[in-house]
Amino acid sequence: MLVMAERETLPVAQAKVGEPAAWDVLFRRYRLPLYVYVFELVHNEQTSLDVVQETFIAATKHVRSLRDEGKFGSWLFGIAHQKCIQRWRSQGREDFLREEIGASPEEFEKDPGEILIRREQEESFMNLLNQLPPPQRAVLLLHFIEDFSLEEIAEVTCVQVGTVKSRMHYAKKSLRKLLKTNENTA
Amino acid sequence: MKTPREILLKRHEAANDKLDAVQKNAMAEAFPPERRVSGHRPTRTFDFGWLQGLFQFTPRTWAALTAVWILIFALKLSTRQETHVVSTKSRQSGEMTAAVRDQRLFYAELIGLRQPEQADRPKTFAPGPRSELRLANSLA
Repeated sequence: MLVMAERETLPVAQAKVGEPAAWDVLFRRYRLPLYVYVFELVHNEQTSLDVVQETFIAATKHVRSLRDEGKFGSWLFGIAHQKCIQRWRSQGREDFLREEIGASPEEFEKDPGEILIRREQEESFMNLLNQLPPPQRAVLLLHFIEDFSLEEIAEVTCVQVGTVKSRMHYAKKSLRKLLKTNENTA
Repeated sequence: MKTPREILLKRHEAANDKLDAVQKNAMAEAFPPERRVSGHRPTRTFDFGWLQGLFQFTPRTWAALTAVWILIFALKLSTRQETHVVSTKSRQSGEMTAAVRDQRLFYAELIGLRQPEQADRPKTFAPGPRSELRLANSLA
């Protein structure tokens, strides 16, 4: 199982000068999280594998354009996110990109901490995730999988930070409601 | 209890085998085997990546700049040739004119139209004193 350190040191500098061994490390670090993210958006195994491959190939070609080596992860997920949007557009699924967001709450609830899910709630959690509109799902996935900050999620999804906050708020609210409901019925 | 991350990654663990193939394909695309074996860093032919880093130009921009420079050199070369042709022509025409003049003089001498000594002597006009000029003008 992958373990995320607070500040992991990745060989991005070596990857920039074209060291294959560095790319091997980066691929192994990000390939499963990237696949999970893409799969939970597009729900197709072959498409997800293709997107991951295309993302890594694009990354090897354009890594020199990355200014901040510490943002390699969000940069990589940003490439994958754009490829998912391209897929949706080519399939005529532009409605996936639309969402109905109510008026932004004046004060978003403070994050009470990490969400923990019981085994018996796992299926309900996955069902809830699939029911969320893709824009909210993307935000939640990026938060859960890689613990990206709001600013990083905004960069990955190419929206403003306020929009990310709003999406995160509604997505987490739905999730907590579900978890509470399950607790009560259990 | 698990975190959402643990649940998601665990759920898709089985994809690791297929991701091995994906990684292999991506590495093969980025680093073809012949480059990896030789040990030197993979470089693409016509890789202007370092130039991009220096000047932030795309390959298309570089191609356009190169084409402009080639055009400038071509124009310079063509104007130099024209100048050479023009100067050569003017030199030739001068020589030809002198040759034609000499030939006319020669023929003129042959048929007795001119005396070579007189023809060679430049005609000079020496203005006379002012009183003579006034008389000449009043008579005219």
